[in-house]
Amino acid sequence: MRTVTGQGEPDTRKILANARVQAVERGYSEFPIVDVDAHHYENDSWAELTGYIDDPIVRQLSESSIAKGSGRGTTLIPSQVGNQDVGGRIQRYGLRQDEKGDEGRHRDVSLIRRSMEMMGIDYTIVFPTPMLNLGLHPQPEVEKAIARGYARWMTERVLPEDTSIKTMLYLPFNDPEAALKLVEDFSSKPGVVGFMVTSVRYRPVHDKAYMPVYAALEERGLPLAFHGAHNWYERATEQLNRFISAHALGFPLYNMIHLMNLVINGIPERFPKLKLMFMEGGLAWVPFLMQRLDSEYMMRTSEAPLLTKKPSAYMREFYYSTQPMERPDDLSILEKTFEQLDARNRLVFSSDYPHWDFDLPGVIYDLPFLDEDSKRRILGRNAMELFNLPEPKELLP
Amino acid sequence: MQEQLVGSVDDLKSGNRLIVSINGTEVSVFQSSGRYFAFQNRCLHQGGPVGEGALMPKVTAVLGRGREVLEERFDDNIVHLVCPWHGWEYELPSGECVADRRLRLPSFEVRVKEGKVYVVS
Ligand code: FES
Repeated sequence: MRTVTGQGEPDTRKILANARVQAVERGYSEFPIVDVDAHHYENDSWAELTGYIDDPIVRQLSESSIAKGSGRGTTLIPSQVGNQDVGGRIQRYGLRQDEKGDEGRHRDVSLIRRSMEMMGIDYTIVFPTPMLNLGLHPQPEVEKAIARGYARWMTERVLPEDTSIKTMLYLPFNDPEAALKLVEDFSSKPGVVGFMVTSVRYRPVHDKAYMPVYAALEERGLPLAFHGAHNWYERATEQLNRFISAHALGFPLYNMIHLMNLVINGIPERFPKLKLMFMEGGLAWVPFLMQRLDSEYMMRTSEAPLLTKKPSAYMREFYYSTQPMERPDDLSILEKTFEQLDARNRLVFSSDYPHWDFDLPGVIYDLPFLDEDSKRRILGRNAMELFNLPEPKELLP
Repeated sequence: MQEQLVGSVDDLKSGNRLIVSINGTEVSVFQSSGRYFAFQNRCLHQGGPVGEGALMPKVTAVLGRGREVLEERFDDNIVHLVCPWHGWEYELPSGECVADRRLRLPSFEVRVKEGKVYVVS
């Protein structure tokens, strides 16, 4: 028996105790699980991260943006209105900042390892949180300086502590030359398994300035992920009066726009070995867009002259991360979605922990229409092949 | 039917929860407005510790004569147990999931005698 008093030290291991029960019940120690999208809060370490920003002007701006004496938080990154914690109902949000790390370990590494151990995850690809909005910064030089500072901080300070934690580094996509330089400089750093573009941004991804970036990624065999987010200030979504609406539409919306530009402009034809991934928009939008684009392509073929097959055929070659996976009452809809996007080979599990709509591996493992091998592929093997990850030294839990 | 002593009413003051095992099921016992409840501590969504979540009044919308929304209010007569993992809401005392009434969080009868709290299994 135990008493929960609402007091005491916040601890990921307590918050996720039920996840560990599931991991043991389902035997996750029998096979590797890769979480391709989990988060840390880089703003909790902002003073430390600031020390890795090379540009002296932006570093000074960053230093002065931190609340005095706290070492955390910054006003240098655009923020969104909204209530991720559903008005206090999702309680871990209010606790996070006070959780302490283990002695002798970076706090972020401690917290990430705790969640991995509770969920039974063997590799995690970690992404920042407030920086998901950095693409909205009106100064490309600030985005560039922070992206490089973050890349240095991650590869020099955080990732060397634990080889089970990887990252796809944030690309400063508003400055294509800076994005290319970041790929060139950080591709071979240990722990870097690819690169990521935050989807809320407004420079079209087929702009010719990006071709060297795609070429560099293709040459290195490193995946490029578009990570969904929402922007309530988007002209079209300004009329939505609830976070649920802005969030539900926003996350797939920007990924749909980028995917459409990539496909219709023949980027997969120009860079056939470029591995593209779309993250955190759920999956239901994929068959929707496949159907829309295929139908229109039949009538307007001349507008997409680089294509040699239907748009859906390219989309089936992209990778998709699972979370936040929709769970329709009629599971045959989800089954069909899996078929459409070639889930057995192209779908990769993501938790998005600790964000409010995180998923446990059970969302895949408990699906009645998947055989054991497909479950294991989606939960781990697909990502291990895509990111070239070695067999984990030990399997959790 | 068996009564299992789980603690005293004092243990359940200030919103405290008692997490106990009843026939192998983890159960959360708590008190709200003088009534006692015991629910399975595994959410029907992804298995979160629902019984450790917040107790929140239901949010209601008040319509005017022209069916325009006049305001939103808390209805303090209807309390929801909210799962701390993702926010699924269950109505007290039934344990019905508010967003899908077909779903119901398993509950247990609670008896209080002379300051002692028992869960009936
Ligand atoms: S596990 Fe309870 S809301 Fe998700």
